[in-house]
Amino acid sequence: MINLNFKHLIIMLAMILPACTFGQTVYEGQVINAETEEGLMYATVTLLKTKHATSSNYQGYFRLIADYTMTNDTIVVSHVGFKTFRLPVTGYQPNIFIKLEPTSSQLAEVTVGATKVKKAVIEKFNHSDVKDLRGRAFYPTYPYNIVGSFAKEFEAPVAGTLLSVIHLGRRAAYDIPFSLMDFPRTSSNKLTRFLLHVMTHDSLSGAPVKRLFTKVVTLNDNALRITFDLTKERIVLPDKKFFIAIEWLLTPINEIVQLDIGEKVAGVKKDNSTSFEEGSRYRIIYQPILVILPQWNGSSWQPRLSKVPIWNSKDGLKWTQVVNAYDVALSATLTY
Amino acid sequence: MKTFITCLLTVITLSVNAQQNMNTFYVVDSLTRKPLPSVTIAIVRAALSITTEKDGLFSIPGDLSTMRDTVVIYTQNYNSVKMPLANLQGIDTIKLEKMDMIAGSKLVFKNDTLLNDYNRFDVGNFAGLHMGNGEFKYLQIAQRFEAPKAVTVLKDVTIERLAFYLNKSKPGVINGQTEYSELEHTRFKLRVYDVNPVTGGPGKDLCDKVIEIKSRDDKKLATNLKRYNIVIPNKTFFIAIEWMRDYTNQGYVHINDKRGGVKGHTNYRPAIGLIPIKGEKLNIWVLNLNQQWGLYTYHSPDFTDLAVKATVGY
Repeated sequence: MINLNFKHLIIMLAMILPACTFGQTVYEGQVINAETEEGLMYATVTLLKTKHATSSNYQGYFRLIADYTMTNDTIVVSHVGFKTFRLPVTGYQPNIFIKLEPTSSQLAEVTVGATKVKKAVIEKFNHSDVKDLRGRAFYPTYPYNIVGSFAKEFEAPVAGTLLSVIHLGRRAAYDIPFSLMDFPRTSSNKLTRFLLHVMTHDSLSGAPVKRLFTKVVTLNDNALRITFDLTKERIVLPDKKFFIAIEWLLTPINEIVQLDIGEKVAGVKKDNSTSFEEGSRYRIIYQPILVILPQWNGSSWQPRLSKVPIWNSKDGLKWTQVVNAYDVALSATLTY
Repeated sequence: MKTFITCLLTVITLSVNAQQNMNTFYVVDSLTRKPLPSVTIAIVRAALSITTEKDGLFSIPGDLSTMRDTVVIYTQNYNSVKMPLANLQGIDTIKLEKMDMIAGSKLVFKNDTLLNDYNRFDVGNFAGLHMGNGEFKYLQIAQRFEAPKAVTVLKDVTIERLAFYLNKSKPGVINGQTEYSELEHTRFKLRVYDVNPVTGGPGKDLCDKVIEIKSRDDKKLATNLKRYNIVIPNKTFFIAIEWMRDYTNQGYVHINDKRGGVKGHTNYRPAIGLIPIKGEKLNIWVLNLNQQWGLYTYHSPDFTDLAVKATVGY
């Protein structure tokens, strides 16, 4: 038997401590099914050495807060029916997407019924389009300082389709502490609430007209790709063309604070002259921050222009088409 | 900063008219005649207030005899003075009388309870910046606590504030990247109140000493209060942040309005975090410029509690 004394313990501690980082660390991201690209609920996310663990929510989103971290630790993501995924903490990137491959033992889907149901995804976008772009010079967001409503036009293959799923790219706001040039310094707020509308298309003006469906959406996480399953709502689209609109709400829950540097009055001297000094200027902006899809032009990332009409409205009634509008990460899945 | 006279005009407008009369006043202790630092002067209807520097000096420009407003002058542990603004005409010294405080006897407590706990990574909304399109016009904000029993001692308080990294000493770009290495500075007073049995809001001061908190390097402000021996007589009590409306804390807030315009106004640090979990009851109270406490409803109903936690011993 090994006889350990105090000296040995000190040496052991000295060997262990450099691998330990004290202070809380946050690991967050989305676990998705590599085959279907949908979020995976109830995936278990564990730090192998420190045994901190959590599970993913309905969007596949997880947030693991560790009181301390071992620099040689590993993030392990597992789910029944999927291959386990391992990632060294040194390879973690903020708001990471983790794709889990289904195991071969998974049962194939069974089609019930005589009629074959067709599925079409309009304006599809991928996880790579909305993933965290920190570190890149290009950081697309929409609408940032605009308040009101935004609508994107969609065209179904046929009239009378059922709108079953909407996907939306959302940019999370962060507080950036160090050394990131040209990056907004914003408060971090994972809460947001907004209205999601499905609207009809006016064949004469091309503008959004009537609301077919409205849903109040409240998000409580930093998931970048949001899935709205509308199957139960039975939203039948009367025409081929329709709109999906987002309406911003000017409520305190949506507030994000962005820092700017301004000039402030430092004081008034005895001779009544005013002096100035550098001061903080906060700008209040409202969530959600939507993602503009990027494109690589050979030398840098640039915002992609939308191929379909984009409309804006300040009051939700009078709509204006945006000239040279950017392409927003918003897609519709239709069944017919 | 010491060369400047604290002047209400600087927060009212930048258009100082050199020809206007400048009425200067000292706020002093009525017995010692020594200047009182950090006294708040609030002009009620004009909704203006400012905190004096160490010299207890403040100025109001213009002809006082024509002003129809009320001034409230107060600081912790002193009886506040409230009078028509015109009554300041002809005087240059304002004497504040010290309150009689009963010091709590030293009690020994064996058990601790942490009240109003939260995870700081969940805090993303802040009170103290603005009220919709308007300025945040409150002097103090308080969180209501419910101790497990009556007669406890307040051991520590932790507050989550909004703060961004700046580097005022090294402006510009270094090695191709802007360096941000310093948090926005702030200082404020921490107040502890008993419950007012009539209103259910903050009542009597429970600490006879001034607790001033300064921070320049952390968003989480943890303060050990054991040395103050603050005894909480009832189960319900309040911990408040009293803003010091001075130059250190002064900043600006810009808000987009519904018509696409931008409104700007002054604000004072620190903005205090809100817990993103809706409780059964609204527990946040604010003190207005007229020295009246009321419930803070701007962030209601989504937010009911401040990100302020406290440990009590019993």
